[in-house]
Amino acid sequence: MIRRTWIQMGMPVTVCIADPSASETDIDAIEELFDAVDARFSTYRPDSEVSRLNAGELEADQVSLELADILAQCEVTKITTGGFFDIERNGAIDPSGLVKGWAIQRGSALLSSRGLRNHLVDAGGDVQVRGLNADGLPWRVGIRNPFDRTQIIKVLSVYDGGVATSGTAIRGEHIYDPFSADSLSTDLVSLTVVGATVYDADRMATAAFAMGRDGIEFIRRQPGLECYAVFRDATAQYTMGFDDYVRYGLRLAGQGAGPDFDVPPGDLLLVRFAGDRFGAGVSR
Amino acid sequence: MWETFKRFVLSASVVVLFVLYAFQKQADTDSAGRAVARVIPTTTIALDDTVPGTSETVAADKPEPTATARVAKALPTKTPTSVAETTAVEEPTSTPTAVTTRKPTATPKPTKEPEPTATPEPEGQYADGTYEGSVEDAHWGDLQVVAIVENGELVDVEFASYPNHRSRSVRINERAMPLLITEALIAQSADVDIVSGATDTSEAFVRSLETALQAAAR
Repeated sequence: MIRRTWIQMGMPVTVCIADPSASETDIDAIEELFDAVDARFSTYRPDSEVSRLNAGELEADQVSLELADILAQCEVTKITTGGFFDIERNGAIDPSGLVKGWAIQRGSALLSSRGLRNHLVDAGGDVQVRGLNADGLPWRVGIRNPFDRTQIIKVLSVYDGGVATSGTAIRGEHIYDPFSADSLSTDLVSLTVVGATVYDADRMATAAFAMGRDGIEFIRRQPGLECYAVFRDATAQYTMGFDDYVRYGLRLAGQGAGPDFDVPPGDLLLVRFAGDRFGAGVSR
Repeated sequence: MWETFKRFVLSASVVVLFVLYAFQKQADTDSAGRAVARVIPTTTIALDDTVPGTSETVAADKPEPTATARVAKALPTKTPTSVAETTAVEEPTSTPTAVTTRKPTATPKPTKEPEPTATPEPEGQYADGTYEGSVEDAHWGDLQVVAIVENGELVDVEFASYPNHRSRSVRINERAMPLLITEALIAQSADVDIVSGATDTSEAFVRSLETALQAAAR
């Protein structure tokens, strides 16, 4: 298995590929892709297309096809989330809440197109996984304790899915929200969304976090999305489907409850994976 | 030509079928005989949401009391034969008058209310008072009206029960199921392939991590 971690797009990026045919050049391809994404979308670089648009150097009708596409997707997301996903901030636009998940997904698709069916692409705490890890098990994704960076509070077993976490940054006892003037307006400290794609998980987590406690109910009502929310008092709330990802891992580790019946070999089985995905196979 | 005719026949038959259905629905109601007031079930939902004194809440975030509990607390069962009693209810939407008592929107009382004061009954089509109609099935729920007569004339019709509480009942039902589970944070095994957490884009963090990775690079 190959694994590499580096800093790009202003955040730590990790790529793991479990396929035996993987090579370093595959990860180089991801790095090139993220370079292009950063060059176009970074709000920290004054020469990026987004920065130039914000500065007025570019007119709205002069943007590239790719940026226009992203802006359209942001608009769709804004409508879907009732306005809670809004890329406009202080008169400028910042589409990073959607671009991050989109970029990670593109990285994953790039690896899949190279025949690498078992991989993990993570950028800044949002991750897309496909297939199985080097142990032949679904990827184990941990959720960081927002109050203690060294601790993990949940372990999910994900076969084909995306995990994204939105939250406030915590420095000691001071909770601040880098995007809002009213820093203590919500008691929601961290919201992790799990779905089939990190693209959906990321943009929905961004919007849902802005809704506060109502965001949990919003995610619950979205088909195919589950969430785990952490509150300021160190309690958490999660959806029923989220538990499937946890129990799936426990079952694989032999710690959870499995089926109460013996399945004779040769039977055709319909299997429900975590996250409402189904597969069929023959028992052995 | 034939196509137009076929279309016309199809549309006409749909219209006719609908008209027949409407007649049949109406006939069903009438066939039950003259409407008779009956005892109101306790699930009747009061429309007046502002009756003070109700303080129960089911869920922590939204005050949506169940229908039965609401009736038990919100609706007084005393007879409105005196003005003093009416004021004790503190109904915010009506002012008590000397002639009639304005009752709250629903009371589990099947009978007519008599003229409450000693003033002579005025000439008119109806006797003063508050009268409840029967509870009728309005498809989505029960419908019951309350007619208020003053000075021999019908002055107001209120709804004791309105069949538009479907969305509310759905919400109540949903809350009965544990759709969200609450727990305390518990540290787990650190044996994971990757960790998901809120993005830490502070420059200090990135700089520090960068130097650490440089040191780790071989």
